Amino acid sequence: MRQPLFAVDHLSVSFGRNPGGARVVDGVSFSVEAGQTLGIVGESGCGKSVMAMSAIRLQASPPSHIESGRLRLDELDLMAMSRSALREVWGKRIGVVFQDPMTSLNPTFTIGDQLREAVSLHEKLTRTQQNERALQMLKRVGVNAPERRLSQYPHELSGGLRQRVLIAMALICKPQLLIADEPTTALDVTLQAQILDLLRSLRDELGMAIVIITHDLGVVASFCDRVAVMYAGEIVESASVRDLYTAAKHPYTRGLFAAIPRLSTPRTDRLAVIDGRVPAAEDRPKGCAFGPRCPRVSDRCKSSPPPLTPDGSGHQVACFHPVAHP
Amino acid sequence: MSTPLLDVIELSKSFALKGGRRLLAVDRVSFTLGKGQTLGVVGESGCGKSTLGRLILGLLQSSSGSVRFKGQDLTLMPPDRMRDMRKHLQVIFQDPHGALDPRIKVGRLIEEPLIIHRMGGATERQAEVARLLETVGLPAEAASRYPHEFSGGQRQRICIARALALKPELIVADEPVSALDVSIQSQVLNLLVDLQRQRGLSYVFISHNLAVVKYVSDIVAVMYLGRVVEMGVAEQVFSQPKHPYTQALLAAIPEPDPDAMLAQSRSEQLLGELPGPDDLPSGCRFHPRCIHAMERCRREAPLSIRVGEPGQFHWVECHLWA
Repeated sequence: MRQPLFAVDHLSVSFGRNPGGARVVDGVSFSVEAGQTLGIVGESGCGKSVMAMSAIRLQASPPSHIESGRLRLDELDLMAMSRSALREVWGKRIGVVFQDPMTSLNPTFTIGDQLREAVSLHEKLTRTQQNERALQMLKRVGVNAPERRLSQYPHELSGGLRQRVLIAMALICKPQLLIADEPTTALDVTLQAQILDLLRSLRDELGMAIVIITHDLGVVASFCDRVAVMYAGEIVESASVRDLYTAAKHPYTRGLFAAIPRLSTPRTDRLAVIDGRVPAAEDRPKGCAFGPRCPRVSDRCKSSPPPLTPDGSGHQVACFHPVAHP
Repeated sequence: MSTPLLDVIELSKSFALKGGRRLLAVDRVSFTLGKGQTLGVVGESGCGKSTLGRLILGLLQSSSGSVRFKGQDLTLMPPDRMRDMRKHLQVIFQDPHGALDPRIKVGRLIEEPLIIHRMGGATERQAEVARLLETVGLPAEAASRYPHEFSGGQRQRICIARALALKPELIVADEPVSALDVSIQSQVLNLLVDLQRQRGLSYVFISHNLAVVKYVSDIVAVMYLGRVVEMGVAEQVFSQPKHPYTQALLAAIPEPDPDAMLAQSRSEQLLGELPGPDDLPSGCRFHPRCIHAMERCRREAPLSIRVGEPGQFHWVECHLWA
């Protein structure tokens, strides 16, 4: 097997003024290879964003604290690095695209300023060279009239253009790893399709690894190689996209799939629901966090949390009573 | 045929911009909606779907056209009668956080419409609040708590209870489940469908989520830059979309099924970006983005054309079908 580019091992993150507070991420492990896309799915509050930002140590501390875990990017041990050493890595070897294109750009600087800054932090280039790089990148992400955009301010651009500019900024130093936190959630479906196509072709061109965080199972199906489902701070199931979509084993994953109305859902069918709600970090049950909402719950689930167990074919599930598939 | 519950005729709204320009947000929209029916309105941000909802409710003054509710024209109604009329027309918004005053207890929030419309005494109203909470699946104790104590899905239930307080006949639901997580979405959608069956409610259901709209709607209207470009029986429009825009919208939805991936790159179905509604293209307003655009499309705006089987309600505004 190939050595993964980015590997996260037993990452736990707590929130609070001091370490030892409520665990929002609990023992999460995953890895992604160069050229591969991993989707992290889950509902609001499941800890997916905190997990991803902590995994690259970009999550502010306090209030968050990495309680344990090993974080490795290629040859780098991210856990052992100082802030100043990390600043050399962020933006250069790790690119990040955030959800909200409205607030992720600085409204008081032009697009050109912001793109030039992104390069100049990591590479010694003349202003002309910086401009060339910025233009090249804007063209690459499909921004029309790129010369004009350089002197424009974020408010002069549409939401779709802004998201493209953010992607250009994240990729301008050709990172090995891209973390994309809900990159299309604020966009319309037609724009979403364009942005996903763009990310896909850039991934293939640059051979980078992508970790995309989303709550949209449709986006995952069309975009990812592997997918990890998070619930209440833990990965409850992880598999290749095809395995997960055809043979989900965790009752939560199955519940999620059943709850989404699709174009093929007949009007006469009642939508499946998952009763109850996600428990808050401070009052998670002792056993399986999904137990109180689970149709398959047993006494065993209530006493200890099920570990994430591989089935030998790359499909992992954290459940004592996984759904069987023939 | 009996009078439809809601009859919208050539409804338009334009906003004045700086420099004397006009923004045509809603352009001559017409439809009828019967009792117990749902009209789904789909389209992307800025297409005018929320403005249409506000015009129907009288929350915005229309520029021309009329909104007839049980035969009475709401656009001509004096404010005092309109206020009375509002009992029958209620609204549910997207953001259940913004729609509920955080300083007021849930019971009072639901009771307020009853107080405003002077319905019942204090005890009767309390009893009604308890009944409404039960209807939307919340415990009666919820009345004495504040909105922040509830999750997003529960807050949307509170909004629904408040909208039901005056026993409306029509509810305009503007992206009612868009802010909710999938597992909560289906709970709220099931509730809306149940309420419709129990109470014979009619909905104008506005959403950018086509799968959700298809699930709840009898009739669907597809809006593009202020204009309804395709309308028909939901089943028909979704299974045999005729307008290139509707086709592109449907193709752009990522279905949660890796096998449903289309061979063709999905984004190739639509060219360029959405023009601003203050700068409408000539002819068919979709032509700059349409992969089928012909010379005629640049020159003249298409008329609405009946499509599909004879007798079936499905029409489209597109020269391809002329």
